Amino acid sequence: MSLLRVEKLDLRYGDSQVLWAIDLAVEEGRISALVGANGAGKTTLMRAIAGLVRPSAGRISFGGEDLARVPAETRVRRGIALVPEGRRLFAGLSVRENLMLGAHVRTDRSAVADDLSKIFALFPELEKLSGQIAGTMSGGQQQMCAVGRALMARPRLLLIDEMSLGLAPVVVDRIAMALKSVNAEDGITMLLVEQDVELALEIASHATVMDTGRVVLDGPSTALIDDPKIREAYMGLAA
Amino acid sequence: MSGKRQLILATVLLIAALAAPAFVGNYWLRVLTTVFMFGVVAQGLNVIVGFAGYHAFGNSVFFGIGAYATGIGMTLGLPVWVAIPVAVAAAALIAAVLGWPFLRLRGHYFAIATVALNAAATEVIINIGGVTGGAQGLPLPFSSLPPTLLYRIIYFAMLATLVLATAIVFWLSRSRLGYALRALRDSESGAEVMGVDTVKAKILAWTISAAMTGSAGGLWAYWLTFIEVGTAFDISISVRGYIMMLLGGMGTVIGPVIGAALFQLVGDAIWSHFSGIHNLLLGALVMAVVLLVPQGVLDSLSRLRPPARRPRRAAEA
Repeated sequence: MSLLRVEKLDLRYGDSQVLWAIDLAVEEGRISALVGANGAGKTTLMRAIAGLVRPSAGRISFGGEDLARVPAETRVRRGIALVPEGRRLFAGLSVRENLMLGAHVRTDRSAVADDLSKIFALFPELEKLSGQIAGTMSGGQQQMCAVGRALMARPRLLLIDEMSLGLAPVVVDRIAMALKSVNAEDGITMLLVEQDVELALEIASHATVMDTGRVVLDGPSTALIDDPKIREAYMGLAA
Repeated sequence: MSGKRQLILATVLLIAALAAPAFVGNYWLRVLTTVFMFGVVAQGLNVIVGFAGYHAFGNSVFFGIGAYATGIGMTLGLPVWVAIPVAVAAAALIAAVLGWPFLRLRGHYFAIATVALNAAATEVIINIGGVTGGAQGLPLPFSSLPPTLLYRIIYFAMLATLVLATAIVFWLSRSRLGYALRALRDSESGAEVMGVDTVKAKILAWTISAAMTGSAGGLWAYWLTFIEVGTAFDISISVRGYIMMLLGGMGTVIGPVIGAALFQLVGDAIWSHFSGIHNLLLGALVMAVVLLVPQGVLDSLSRLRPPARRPRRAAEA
């Protein structure tokens, strides 16, 4: 069954329409990817799912329930966590405080403590830097902290926006591996937005391709990797 | 400055403040009472500005509301120890109700709206007349206590209020609400995607802030025994509180208290030695503070320590 379902979604910023009749389904337990060029509307769609922008038409449902009237902070309680584009750590707070903010909606203290040690096991540098002010860390460390922060909510669905942006390939690989292991062990469903199509198709089992506000292709990653149109348009490889 | 050092400093200051009335004359008793009063105002600002990042320049409105509600309550026959808590509740309630529309405004717009609120409140008090005394001001019932005892009681009441306000800020600095406020100060939508109910958190912060400011106003009214709108809703009350908060260090636990003491004591010293140009000198001092210690003296003090314990720049990952 689909954990997240987006149907016929339109979204406008003022007079200009940026999303057109988007259909998207994210299956429970899987990693799905949303790929496409700059300006395709991927981040906007993520923001709509997180509840930060309001669609002008269409429907988003999560676990079978309509999210239309559910504000962003309540969606977190329902189990949707976002790793925002550009990481957006709370720069003035320490690493530990940032991580604990991820668990803001939770009241199960001992489980929160367990999850914190899990995150520290996943990214040991965060434990070493836990007292440090988040804004002073390197980009890679900040991205790890942002991923950890979202995982601290113990989400059912993890939205990850442009995880690879501006990071060294080794760091991207480490975070990608961490995401895969979390998905395999805890069964957390993930939807990642990526400009790096090759990376996205490698991590995700299923991908949706967007172009200028519309869904243009959708299918299993293995099929898309071999699709000559994809190879040419997004991976810079000759068919 | 670390939490432990702040706690030690706070304890030393508290002991000194408790002992002071035994050693000082009436003039210094009054100066110190004023320090405590502005300390409370600065802590009230600290909650909404330092933690939540909402610049409530017009927070003096709650000082005035606290003063007037106390005055009206006492005129209607309430004893002072009932009138002041009622006044504090009134200030908090007004902040909670007005917070809902006001805290939707961000940045400068919120700051200007609070200043407008302060101006509007003075007009309301004047035009209601009757129990408020209107433009003529409001005399409070005299206390039958001998003045030396009364002023000592007010000194300790003001000190207790400051201790309570500081304790609340201390609690806030380590509570869920405190984290939520500091997060939304950085990014409101960022806090929302962490599951923070930002509207509720902001309103709570302003309500706490108003209660603190209102309690200072209530005690001030009882102390002065005569209030009028020009002084009770004087915007310079919040401006002073602001300077004190910045001077000590906003977002810290005892910074605003240190700032209040420094600014008030230095201000009084300048006033008594250079009476013609004291505002000029005070203004120059404020500019120097903003330029030289923008993070507040508490931060500068902790920078005087050996650098070993300060966080180093992270190595690249």
